[in-house]
Amino acid sequence: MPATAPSLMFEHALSHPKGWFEPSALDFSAKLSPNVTLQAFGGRVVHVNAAGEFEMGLEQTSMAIFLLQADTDFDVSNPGTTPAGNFMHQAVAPAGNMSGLVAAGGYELESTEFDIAPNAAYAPNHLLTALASNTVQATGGVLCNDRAGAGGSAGLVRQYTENACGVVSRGQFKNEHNVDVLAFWPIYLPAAFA
Amino acid sequence: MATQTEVQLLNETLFEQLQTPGMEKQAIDAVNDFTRTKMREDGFYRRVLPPLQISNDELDRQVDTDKPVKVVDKEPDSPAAISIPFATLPVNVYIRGPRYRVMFDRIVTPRFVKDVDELRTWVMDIRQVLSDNAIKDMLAEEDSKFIAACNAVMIGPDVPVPYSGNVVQWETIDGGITRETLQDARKIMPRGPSHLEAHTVLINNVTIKEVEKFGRDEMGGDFSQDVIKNGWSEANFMNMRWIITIKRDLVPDDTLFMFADPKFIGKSYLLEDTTMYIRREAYMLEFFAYQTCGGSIGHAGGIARADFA
Repeated sequence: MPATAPSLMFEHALSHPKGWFEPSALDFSAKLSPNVTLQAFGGRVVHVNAAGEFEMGLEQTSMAIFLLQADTDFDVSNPGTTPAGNFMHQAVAPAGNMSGLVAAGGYELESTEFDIAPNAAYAPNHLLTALASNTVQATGGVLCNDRAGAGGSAGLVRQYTENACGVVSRGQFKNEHNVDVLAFWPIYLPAAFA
Repeated sequence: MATQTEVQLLNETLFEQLQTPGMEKQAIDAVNDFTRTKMREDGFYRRVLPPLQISNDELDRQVDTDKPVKVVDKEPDSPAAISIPFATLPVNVYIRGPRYRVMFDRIVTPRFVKDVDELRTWVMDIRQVLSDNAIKDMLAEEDSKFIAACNAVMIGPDVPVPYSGNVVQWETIDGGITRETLQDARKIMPRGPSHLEAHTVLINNVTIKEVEKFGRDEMGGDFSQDVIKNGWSEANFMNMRWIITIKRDLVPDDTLFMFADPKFIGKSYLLEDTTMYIRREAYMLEFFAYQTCGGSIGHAGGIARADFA
């Protein structure tokens, strides 16, 4: 089997054109929940579960957090067992902590983790949501302006009806690395929840 | 120990440096020297596996990330030598060796904030005020990550470790802590395929009292008398260096961690040693400490644990 080509460091990423970094900027650090089986790329949306760990997407009144690192980044994890089960090493550090920017902070962000072919083209002021799924790589924590999440065609996200975590600012474009990104302002706007 | 007058003088000097343009570096250096010394003295991770300072040109660049990585070679295994009759040739072994990557993350304390006018009334050393909480927090994080890695590598109590000759490295030993059971604990590590001897013992400050109970016939003559009079101060005992910790949440009661010589355990690197960031803006002082470090246990056979029941 041929070797797998490595990824480029900007293929799955969160950029922060405005509002970060400041020494008191609102970020949050936690471990990824073992419930998450998909690869949690930088730029995806997570929330904090009852155990204080990150799970993918938005649910109920959860606050969105936009991941700065992937769970496979070298400052997050260093697995020491080969796919065949052989021992290479046991990492003392890194300890599995990830961090992200909290939606209540004041930023404009650009994420590579969005539905690049939405049912309705992204326009300024569209609300964005992100499906809560810890297992589906294509949709879990992926930003989209469709109320059914990435890949959906149910119509635009509605305020107070779906969980919203962002408002489109400059929309979809190719960045300096020729990678599609979506520019938006993060917000906290949960669906009405009884 | 410095007198109160000396401490006040020290504090005033530090304040002057913090207030004088161009002198902030001297103030920060004074705190850094103090902090780094304390870090070296107080944490057990650094005493078991002393960190090596690593520079930028010792890092190994990767294609898919700009995050720092150090690749470490492990000694390759080799098949045993065999006896053969004359006119026979040896088998070929193509040399391949394992490697592993050490990756880095940052340990950072909370950012402490204080009005400088409230600090003026402190009669204790301000460097200590600045660094004590920071050091405790950072050492707790370092030590807990190390113990978590040790426990993970040994899998669990009385479970054979498949990548270390299928021997048990975390063993429950019945009979409490006695001269005999301590020797049984010392057998755990040499039973492995690497036949290593324990070089360092890690024990908590409650369990060590059980060892202090040893009588003259168990511990050896006047040493027993000295321990009962003065408490445990012996750094070397049973041909092992003993480290005593108060972190009972990490090193439980009636438990002994044993470590081989550091070169048989793994690598610990410091990319940026403990550094105190101090900033004064008007009358508000803020400070936090951070360090960038990485480490891995490369050889599972260099660690053992005994739980005395």
